[in-house]
Amino acid sequence: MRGKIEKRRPHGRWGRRLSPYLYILPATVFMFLFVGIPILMSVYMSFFQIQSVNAQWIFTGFRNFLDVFRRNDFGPAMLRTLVLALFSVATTIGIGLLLANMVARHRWLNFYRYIFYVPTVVSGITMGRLYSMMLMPSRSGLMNSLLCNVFGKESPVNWLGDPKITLYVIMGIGLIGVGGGMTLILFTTVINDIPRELREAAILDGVNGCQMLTKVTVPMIRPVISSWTMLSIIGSFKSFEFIYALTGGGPAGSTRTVAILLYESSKSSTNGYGYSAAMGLLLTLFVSVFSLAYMRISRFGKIDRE
Amino acid sequence: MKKKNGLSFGEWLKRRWWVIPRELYLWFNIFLMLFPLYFMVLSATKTNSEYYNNAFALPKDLWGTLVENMTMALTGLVGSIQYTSYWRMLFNTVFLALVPLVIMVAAALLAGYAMETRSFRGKGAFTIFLLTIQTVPFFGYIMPLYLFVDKLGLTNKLWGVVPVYVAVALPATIVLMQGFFSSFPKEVEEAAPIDGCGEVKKMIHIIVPMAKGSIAAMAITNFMGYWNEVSISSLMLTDARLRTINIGVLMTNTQTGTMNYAYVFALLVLSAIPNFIFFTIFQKKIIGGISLGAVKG
Repeated sequence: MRGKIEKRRPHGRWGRRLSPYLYILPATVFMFLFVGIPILMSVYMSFFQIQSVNAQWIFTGFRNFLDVFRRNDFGPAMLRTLVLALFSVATTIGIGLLLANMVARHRWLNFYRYIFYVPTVVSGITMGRLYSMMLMPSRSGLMNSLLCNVFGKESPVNWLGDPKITLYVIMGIGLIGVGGGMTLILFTTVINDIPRELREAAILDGVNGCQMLTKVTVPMIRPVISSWTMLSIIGSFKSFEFIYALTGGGPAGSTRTVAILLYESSKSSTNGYGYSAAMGLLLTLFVSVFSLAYMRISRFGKIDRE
Repeated sequence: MKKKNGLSFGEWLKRRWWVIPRELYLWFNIFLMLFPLYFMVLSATKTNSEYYNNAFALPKDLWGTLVENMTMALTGLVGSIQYTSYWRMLFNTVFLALVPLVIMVAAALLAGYAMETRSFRGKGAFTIFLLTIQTVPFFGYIMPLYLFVDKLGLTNKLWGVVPVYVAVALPATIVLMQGFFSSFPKEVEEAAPIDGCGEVKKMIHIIVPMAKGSIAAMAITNFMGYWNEVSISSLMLTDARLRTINIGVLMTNTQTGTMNYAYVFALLVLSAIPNFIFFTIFQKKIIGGISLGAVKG
């Protein structure tokens, strides 16, 4: 078969016209079927009330969207997601910069890069479950054991069961090894790419450590910081594994982020599938609007500097 | 870099005092990061009562209890309840990591190649298609995807998850492949037909070997992504025998009644081991690849 084709198109002109489409065909089929169609369906479905797949799809216009808004845990969930996202990104980038600066010219740079990457190796689920074990509310939980038996506190703290503090506990955990992982690798690489002459000139001009960081290092790596911040924000909107494995949505839903909310909604069909689709769309909109806004703001920042 | 060229300690302290808090911060962080892992392994070597009594204590019979707990986790037989065995979960996870990976990389390679080296009608539309898909986060279409897949009869089957996994990772990978092919030497490609090479032969014998580096990098990242993935797989696979390792770990959360600590920790250790093995083998590539790719982007 192949031999025949080669003889028929000695210069490959006939074959070439068809083959690009053939090349992109498998990819297109997969993406269209399993991502494209669901997205289109999502938009369509959100305007209907769908109790079960085979039942009648009742057209309800925008009611699903309104219902999602009216949920009394929707607003809090969005707020929570935003707070967690901003907090984690701010600390990751902020402390990540400091950490990278500490480590970039250290003798043991590679060691630190490796070891700060270790927590990322274990999957979010495993880490989350591990922490939920360590923070068990009884006296035998690790943290409580420390507090009660060693430091003499009377009653164990219900770290993950008290709706008021669980969110803060999550943020606290996020501070361990903050700025490590990929952030550290990225920043250290970029910092080390800053030309030596610049640093030496700055030293000659008599800058101290702080000024070196703020006036030399940071401006030089600004674009990387910017794009990484963007990616981190979007990533933290989507991420839910760690929190879900840790709290399963939290005591009384106090740690439900937007992603968890959607995950749970898609597992249950109490409000109809159209409702979940509407929620998905709203949240997608929310994330895109936020990312666009961020892009606009950071672009303004860049233009001003120039 | 600190050099103590004959400086006395007092002098060194005055000059480089910041080294001390810096090192303290670093090592404190390292301790905090590694401690949970240490605790995980430690607890996996204790019996339930040992763990319950004192979380910090060392076990009386380290190896014996460890073997006991590991057997429990490996077979999934905890007391009288039969959970999914680790071996089965491992198989499921490996299957769902490798099979979609191969298909996905192949499809992305072909598509990226065509996009970058050919021009054809609809190329622009395809690019827009890719961009749009990437901006919509997965949770925007979980629901319809599940219904659609259900209609196709793909739920609760490992093979059903495969196409979803492929589709989800394709857009980003195609873009990366395009990036690679844009720096691909045209001369090699043009030489091929002259030497009497047909399209398919050219692909297999020339392009793929040259793209090996990129393919490897993408394979590694996506493999890890698939391995750690849990939302799609937990939604689509409800049969206990089809659980992946991560789903198995997640499931231990719901058994809060009489929790068997030993089992949970043993399972956690078992779930971390493959990740660590993988990381140790590929660490140079992972860390190196990130820094290379990062500077470009």
